[in-house]
Amino acid sequence: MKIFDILHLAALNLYRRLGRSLLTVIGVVIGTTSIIIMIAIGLTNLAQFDEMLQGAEITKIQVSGNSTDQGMGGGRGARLDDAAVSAFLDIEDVDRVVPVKYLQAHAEAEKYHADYLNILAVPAKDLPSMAELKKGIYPREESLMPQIIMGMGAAKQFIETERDYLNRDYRGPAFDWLKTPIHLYLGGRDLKDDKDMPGSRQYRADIVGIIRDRNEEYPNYDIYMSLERVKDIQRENHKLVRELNGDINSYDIAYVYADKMENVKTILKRLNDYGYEAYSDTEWIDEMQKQQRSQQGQLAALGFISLIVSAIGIANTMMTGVLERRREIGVMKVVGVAIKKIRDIFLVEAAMIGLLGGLAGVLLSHIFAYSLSTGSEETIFLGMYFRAGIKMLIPLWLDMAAMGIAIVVGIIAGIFPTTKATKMSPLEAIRS
Amino acid sequence: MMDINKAPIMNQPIMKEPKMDQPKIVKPDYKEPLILARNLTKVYKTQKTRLRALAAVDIDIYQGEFVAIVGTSGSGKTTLLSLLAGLERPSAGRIVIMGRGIHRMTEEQLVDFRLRDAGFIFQSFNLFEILTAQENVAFPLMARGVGKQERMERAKELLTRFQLGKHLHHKPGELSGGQQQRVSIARAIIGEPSIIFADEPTGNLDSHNADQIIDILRDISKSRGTTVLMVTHDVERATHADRIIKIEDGRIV
Repeated sequence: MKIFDILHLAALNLYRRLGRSLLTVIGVVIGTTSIIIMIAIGLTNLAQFDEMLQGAEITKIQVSGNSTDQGMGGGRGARLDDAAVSAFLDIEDVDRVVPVKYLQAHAEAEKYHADYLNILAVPAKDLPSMAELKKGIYPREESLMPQIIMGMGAAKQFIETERDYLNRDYRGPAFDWLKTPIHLYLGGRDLKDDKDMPGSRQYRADIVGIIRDRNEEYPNYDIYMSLERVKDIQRENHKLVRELNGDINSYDIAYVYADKMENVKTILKRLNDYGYEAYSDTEWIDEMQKQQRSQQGQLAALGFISLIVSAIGIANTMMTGVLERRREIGVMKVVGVAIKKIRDIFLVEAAMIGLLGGLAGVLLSHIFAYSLSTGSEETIFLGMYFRAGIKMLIPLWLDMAAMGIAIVVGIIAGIFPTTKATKMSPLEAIRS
Repeated sequence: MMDINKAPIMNQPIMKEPKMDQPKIVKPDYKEPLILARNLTKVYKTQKTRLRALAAVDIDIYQGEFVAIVGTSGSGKTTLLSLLAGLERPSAGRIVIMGRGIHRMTEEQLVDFRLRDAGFIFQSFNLFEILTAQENVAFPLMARGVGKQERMERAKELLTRFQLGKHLHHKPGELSGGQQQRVSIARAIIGEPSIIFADEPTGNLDSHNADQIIDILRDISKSRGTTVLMVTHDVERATHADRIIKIEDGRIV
């Protein structure tokens, strides 16, 4: 018997029992659709999570000093200084170390003034990795003038009167920052009137770059200067620095970068052993990933349950079909159709049900996905959060896999009744 | 060459001349019986009882014979047919058909035997409901892997000869009992088998149609040299056969 004849017979049988064939196909459609939708929801959630990870720096460890603990070297406190930085660099799998100083200052620009600016001082060579510029250039290490890059959020701190503080829509001075020199003083504005404190020198500083905002709603509030210049300024005002309990030669924090995310844990431990406080986003990312995986598993399980239910549906239909067609099977045997061929006819029928159901299921899932994607509200589904306007993803491989599964399920569900059918004694079957 | 259009009227044998418009199949002339059975025994076992359907039966059937096996229901005649056709395996004894031991064949060999050397006719016709008359007749050829055009052409020829040329595309449900049985005979002979096994072929038919079917079977055996083995409880119609084997309680009498 030729393959085409087998296909023809199987199709004819399905067509003749159209009503029941359709019911079975619907079962497969439901199974396939739910498995696709469940996995698609999981994938969408995962994609959203990955998007979130883009913002997090997964290899970054934030280290701060610990004045009470006796750290490395025995007698010395866990102080963040150049020696510590080079010690960090010696730790295995550490890619680079960026020391950071926090600097408080106040400034004036034309008729505007900012009273408390928090400036991050980072080595000039590391600035590009800390902030992305919208326009302008990064501060140059060799520049003698203090050079600043800042986000437009920080510009809001320059006010003309106190009333500007209260205005929620205040966007800061409207001038071109890159062309407007500012005057910078060490320490907060309150020091200016404090007669007991040594006064800060006045520095003429240039804004050389504007930092790109993460998005329109959240402007960037950072202000950066090169560490080299900040150290100079601190040296030139060493009396004031000492009064403020500052230390020219130590850093407030340092960022230690691991070469890979997997190494973060061991580096964290080493840093803690040295007596430093160390923290990394990786810890919560780990936790979230675990949670992600378990959610994915739950979703897949839900999908598979519905698929199994539809598999039982197919098996049931095949079984009734076989019982109804015992006589037919007997005749086929008597006429001289090999058992293998009879089985093929039935299995092809089952596979056709799987294929049709799978196709329709894929189609239906895409319609579902389309209608679910257009929602503009935040949604929580099965404990998963979806931000507004997110698009549901159904990758091609998922379509293919679901179809494949539907066909395989069809065949597997068909095997038992078919085997039973071919084992019947022909005459017995014919007379029944 | 016989003119199909001048085919005899229905209550006459349809095929009068041995030579048909197909080349006559040359089959080895067995001096020995075509079908030989010795000590054929069949015992059906259920959980509680053992039923001896056939007890040490010996049978010789020669090529071209039209043999009627008669007996009351439960006499074992259908069991005998099943065993001879290789549909069931004997509990004891041996069956040799054309020099081959049917009782020793594997399932695969049996399928091949039925496919090439045996044709079957049943009481309740057992046509495939989803196929047309023409497709039903062509089915054995399909099972052999014959191409669609050829097998449909041959089925059409055969059906036309059986006065069913107008019903090629009808489903069995649209045909009368006599017509269905003629379709099923066409299906049985399309593969040009050596033996036709007929299980109560007239059981569901009125006497006119029953006579017609018997005539056709007889004609097949005479014109083609095909051996016909018919099981029936209709003793009167069995007299049209060459030989009657009577069976009672699993024994030949």
